[in-house]
Amino acid sequence: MVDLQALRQAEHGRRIRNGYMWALFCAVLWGIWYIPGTVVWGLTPFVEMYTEVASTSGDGMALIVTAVLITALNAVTVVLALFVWNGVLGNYGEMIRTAKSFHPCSKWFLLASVFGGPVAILGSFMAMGFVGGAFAAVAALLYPVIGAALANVWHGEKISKRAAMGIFVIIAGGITIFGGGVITELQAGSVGWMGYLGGLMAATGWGIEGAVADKGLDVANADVGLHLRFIAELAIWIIIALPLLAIMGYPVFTYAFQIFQPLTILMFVFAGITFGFCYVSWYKSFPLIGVGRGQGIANLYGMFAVISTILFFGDVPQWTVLVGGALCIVGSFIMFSEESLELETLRN
Amino acid sequence: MTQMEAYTAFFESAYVPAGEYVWLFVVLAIAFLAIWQARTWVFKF
Repeated sequence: MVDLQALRQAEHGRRIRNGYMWALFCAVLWGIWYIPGTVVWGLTPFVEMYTEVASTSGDGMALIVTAVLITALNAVTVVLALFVWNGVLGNYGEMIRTAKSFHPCSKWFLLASVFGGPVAILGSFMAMGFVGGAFAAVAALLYPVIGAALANVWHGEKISKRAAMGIFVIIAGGITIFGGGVITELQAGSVGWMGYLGGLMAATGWGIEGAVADKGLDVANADVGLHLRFIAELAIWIIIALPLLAIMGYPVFTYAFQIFQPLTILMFVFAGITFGFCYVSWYKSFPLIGVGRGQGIANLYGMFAVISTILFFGDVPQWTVLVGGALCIVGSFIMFSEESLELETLRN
Repeated sequence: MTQMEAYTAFFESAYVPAGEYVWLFVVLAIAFLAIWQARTWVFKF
């Protein structure tokens, strides 16, 4: 006779393993995204665009304006990559149904696109432009704290002591990885408050996005929900952000039409695949292991970004990177080794 | 500097041989694995 209790436990264990697997896919792909995400800055037309804007408005503003155009174009290829993803999964019909159901679900994805797109991404670039790249990375690493706290207050999501400890150890690892650079940048930053505001926007934006999207994922498919979220984000960049920058006198459209170079297009295609598939994995992990754990494991992207840049760009790692990487691994094991029955119900 | 020179300059010190091409295949392999896992999960139901 089949033991129903044993079957139920086995199915539950599979669900948890799948949740961690998706969060790990997210971290790996996010880490690799830094390769096309970095290279594209060194290609035509962005080198010329940065130089032109910097000559009139300074380096900080040049970074933000160029980053907005790159992010908008990245959103285009993410949407295309997700069409492939959802096509392979046979989800187009579901997409139309979800988009039509605005009140129960797609409104949450629209809201997620606002927090995850303009708020978090723009904030991250502000932190990068006005303080520095390492500060932006550390600020972004704090987003699971906001996400886990909001999911706890809003959805009653349970965060066990072990999960909380894992999240904090991974964040400590990330801070150790980027920490040395932060001190130098904080001393050198000239328009500090804009950078700090950007850091706050990045941490809260992605944290809120996770909690808001999880609300929509109660009734919608993660693959479809994420695709709708990115279509909404693309609309925000193209209909609001880029025209606003053009009105302010920045040559965003002039340079947007100059991207049709084989290598630039190739970089955007690969940025679209890595970012799109990373994001969809992030969303897929939320219903399975909860927002706090999903975001905590996804935070390993810091370590994978460092590994990618060491392997492919030949960056020489400092000792802080090795200590930080070890902390990230310890934090992940603290979370992975949590008894799966502890996660039988994710919410109170 | 041509586009190709600008591109390969990023990978000059790569520890992985032919790093400027290898990373593209690494991405495709992981992306294929992810989409295959997603499809396997969907077709269980």
